[in-house]
Amino acid sequence: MSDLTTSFSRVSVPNTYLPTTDSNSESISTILTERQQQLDVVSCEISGLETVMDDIKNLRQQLVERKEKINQSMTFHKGLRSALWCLPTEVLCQIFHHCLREDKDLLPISNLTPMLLTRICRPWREVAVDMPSLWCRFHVEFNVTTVRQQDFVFHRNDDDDYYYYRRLEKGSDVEVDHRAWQQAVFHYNLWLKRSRGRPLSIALMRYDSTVLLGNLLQPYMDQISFLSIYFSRRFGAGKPQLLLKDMPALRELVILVDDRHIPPMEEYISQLPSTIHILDVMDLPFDIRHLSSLDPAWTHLTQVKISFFDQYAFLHLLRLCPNLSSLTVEIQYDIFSRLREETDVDRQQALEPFTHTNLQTLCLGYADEGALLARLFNALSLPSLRVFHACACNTRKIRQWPHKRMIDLIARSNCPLERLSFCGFTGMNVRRAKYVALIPSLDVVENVVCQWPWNSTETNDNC
Amino acid sequence: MVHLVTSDNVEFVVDKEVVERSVLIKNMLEDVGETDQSIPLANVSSAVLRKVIEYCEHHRGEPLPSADADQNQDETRKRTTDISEWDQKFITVDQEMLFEIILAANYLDIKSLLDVGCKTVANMIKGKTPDEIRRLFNIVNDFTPEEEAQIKKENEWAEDR
Repeated sequence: MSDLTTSFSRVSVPNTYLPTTDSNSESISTILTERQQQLDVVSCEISGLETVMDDIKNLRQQLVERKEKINQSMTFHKGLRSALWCLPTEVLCQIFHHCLREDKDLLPISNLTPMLLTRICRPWREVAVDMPSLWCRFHVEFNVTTVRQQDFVFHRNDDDDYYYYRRLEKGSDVEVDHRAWQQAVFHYNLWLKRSRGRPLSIALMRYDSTVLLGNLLQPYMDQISFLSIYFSRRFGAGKPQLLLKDMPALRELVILVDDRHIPPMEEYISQLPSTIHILDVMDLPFDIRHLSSLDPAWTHLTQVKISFFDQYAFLHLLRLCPNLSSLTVEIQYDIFSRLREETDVDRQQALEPFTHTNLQTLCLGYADEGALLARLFNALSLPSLRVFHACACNTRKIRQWPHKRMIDLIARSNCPLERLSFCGFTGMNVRRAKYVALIPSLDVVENVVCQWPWNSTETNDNC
Repeated sequence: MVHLVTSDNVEFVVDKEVVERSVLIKNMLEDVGETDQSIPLANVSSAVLRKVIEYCEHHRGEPLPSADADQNQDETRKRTTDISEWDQKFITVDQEMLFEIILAANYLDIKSLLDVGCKTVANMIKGKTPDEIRRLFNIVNDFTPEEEAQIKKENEWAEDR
């Protein structure tokens, strides 16, 4: 029997009334007195045990701290004889360079270089902060991920430009992130100032206002040599021209959009400085009329990535850009319905023979019938062509490459072609010999796995 | 053949073509001309020089990067962390030897070896937290509380992205 079992606990049911008698009452009182004494004893024991446990915890904590101090001391003394500290600053700089990712822009993330390198120790921080080349690439992406997207609404102000974030809290309309933006600007400046006047590569991917962003970049406009800019209706594409003007050192521009109907981007591109040599506007399909208006700005281009509605624009681009050495172009499918309504006379005028003397690399994404491409090849001569890559962007429409016209083009151009590659086309085995017969040293590759520079389900399936 | 004497007084006799991958020694030999005299390498131990010679032997005959080419390709060279399979095996050494090889490559002016060493250290740094890096290289966190606060302030906006 347990020492807590009584005569009552054996015969009585809990939560019931026991008829009171003197004898019962006295017995229960005795039991309760005894229980109180027992309770006091156990409570005292528990208290004592807790004191012991606290002592053990304290002792453990002391040991953990002691261990940490021993570790620190070991680290310190190991470090004393490490050749790491003998490395000259220029070697450490070289190591730090290798730590950078190869992207043209770097996300400001604390656990990634270059920010990571400022957090290790004082000597490394001094070297990293004093290396302008670590801070010349920058990716602007205003952080809104800490608040759920659905908590925000976008609000346009009277200047038709600012978009304030507002968070809806219990029915109230509370502005929260303008201050956060200013805080981000402070830190972006911290980064950009460390570049100390060096040429900057900047990607502007997600931002709240072109005005604010323009203010942020104003002190660095003279430094920007590479700019990748994302225009989005959602993230403040209000006045993109504010960002694209006054960049006298700009050599390379990439324009990305989430909506091809953002007001006329071509107008802004036409205002670009003549310093620009490399342009990627693959997101913005042009037609020949737009290209005509860009004549002066495009003369200096040496590398272009672009998409067209039609093959006539392709020839027109080559005429506009005599210095072009590399061209990546997608000739899109959907506009051909309009072209087919043009007269034969129009077509013949647009496809007059043309020789481009400087083009060395041509990557062509094509999404229509091979017959149309054949006419383009008939008109072209590319005497400097060294690399040609073709990708079928819509295999439902095109499976056969116009090899005969291509061979004619190569023969007519008398070019030093070194590599010819195809992605998504059939029938190469038959034609390979003819290409090689023309240029024995030619490297002909089919079924190349290429990463065509735009997203399309069909393209991705094939490439 | 060229005679080299290390800091621990060990003499190595090395083929001229091999040892001339070091721009320092190549220039020395051009200045001095043919000689039987030993070249003292006060900054390089025998263990390290043995590794350096192994590297130079393997890459014997490969073109040396010219100063111009080096300058032009500087950024590319510095940012590409790919290391060839043989070089990777060669440079799989303990940390102290790795730093000694880097120091020797820098002193002897063997750019390709310096590159391999620096890339290896960079690859060890990449993807690690500050604590992991400190533990790896036996670096003491010597920031004062004020500096820690400043660093925290600089970085807090860029965390958890």
